Amino acid sequence: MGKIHLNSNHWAALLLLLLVVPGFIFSHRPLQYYPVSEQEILEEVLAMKDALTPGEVRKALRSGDPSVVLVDLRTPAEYVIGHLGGAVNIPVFDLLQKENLKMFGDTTKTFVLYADNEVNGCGPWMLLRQLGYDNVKVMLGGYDFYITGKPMPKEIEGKCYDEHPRYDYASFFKGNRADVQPKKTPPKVVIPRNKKKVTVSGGC
Amino acid sequence: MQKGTIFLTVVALGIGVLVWLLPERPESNDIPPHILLHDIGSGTRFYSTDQIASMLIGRDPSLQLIDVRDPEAYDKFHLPGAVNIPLKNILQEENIDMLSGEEQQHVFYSNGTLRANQAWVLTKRMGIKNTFVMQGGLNHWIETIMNPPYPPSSAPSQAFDLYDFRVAAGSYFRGETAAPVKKQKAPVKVVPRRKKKVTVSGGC
Repeated sequence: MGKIHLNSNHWAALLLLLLVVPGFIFSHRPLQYYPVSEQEILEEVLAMKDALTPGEVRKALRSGDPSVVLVDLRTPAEYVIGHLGGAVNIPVFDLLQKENLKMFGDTTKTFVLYADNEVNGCGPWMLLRQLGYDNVKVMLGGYDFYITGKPMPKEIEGKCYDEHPRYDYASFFKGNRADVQPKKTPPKVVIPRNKKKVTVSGGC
Repeated sequence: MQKGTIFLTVVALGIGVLVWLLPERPESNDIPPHILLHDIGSGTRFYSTDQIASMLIGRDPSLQLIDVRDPEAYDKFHLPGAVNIPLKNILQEENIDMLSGEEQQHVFYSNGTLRANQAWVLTKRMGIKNTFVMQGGLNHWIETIMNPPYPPSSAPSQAFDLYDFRVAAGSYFRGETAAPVKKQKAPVKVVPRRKKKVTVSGGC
């Protein structure tokens, strides 16, 4: 057996085979973006156990518990105009910046997210939950509801403020059904025809 | 044949066998967190109730409304043409298959925005493109379409145009969503034909 002679073309081909091809195979996609599966998130979302009412947040603020950190997701301008006590400002788009993720990684603390309403707070909360941060909670009602100072209505306590049906939807249609119904056609008045009087007619 | 070429062929075949032996990776279409965050932060997923109303009136075939509330709430009232996928069932295979269809725009709605938004976050994470949210949900639907506020006299003329549209749309939907009125067929009165009286007529 002679020695295998590789010229420069062969070396290039070998490089391609050994580096580029496996590179393509493995760099296609990182193995997993989210450590928490969709199903787990769905169950948490349905249970709403990480959702705090404004009353609970107020209580935590009053108690001065240092382990509770409020996170204001609104814009810096809105934050300057007014924010809840001790809140740090992280505009939504900055949520995944390294130093912020490092902060959320502190498991000794509980972070309570809020935005202007609970919809804008819930999306970022779901994102952080999916990334595996389980010390993150979200405030129901959002800032706009909190500053009204109103307690949450009894019937929606613990559920979502936004999702409470404010109307009986079907009634909007019931009440107006009359004008939808096809007009009843008035019963036809049958005019009895007069019987033709039979006249006895003689022949020609 | 050169030995170098043979060597390279063997290497290539070896890589081929290795790739073939690789364990199959779970197929996941998850989108990266920073893209999900960008979508959560921007409002491009929202359709206003006016847009939805106008699409429904125009019978836009690309619109597919999806009611994420409980079946009981759906049976009581739902928007015309909406299908019911309760939030807790959203990850079922047949529902995901349906939502991944690219020829239609799947618009989630619930009583408010929150539940629809949660459904949207979950589907978006899974890389499903054509999902949207009706902003404000049914509460807002009632407030804008079924029961629009009259604009103040200082409002620009567009506000009045919008008001006119909403009033017209409202009356359209009252007709559209009313329970189908069963047409009662009036019993056909059989009018007995009178027998022609045979008159005695003298013949010629």
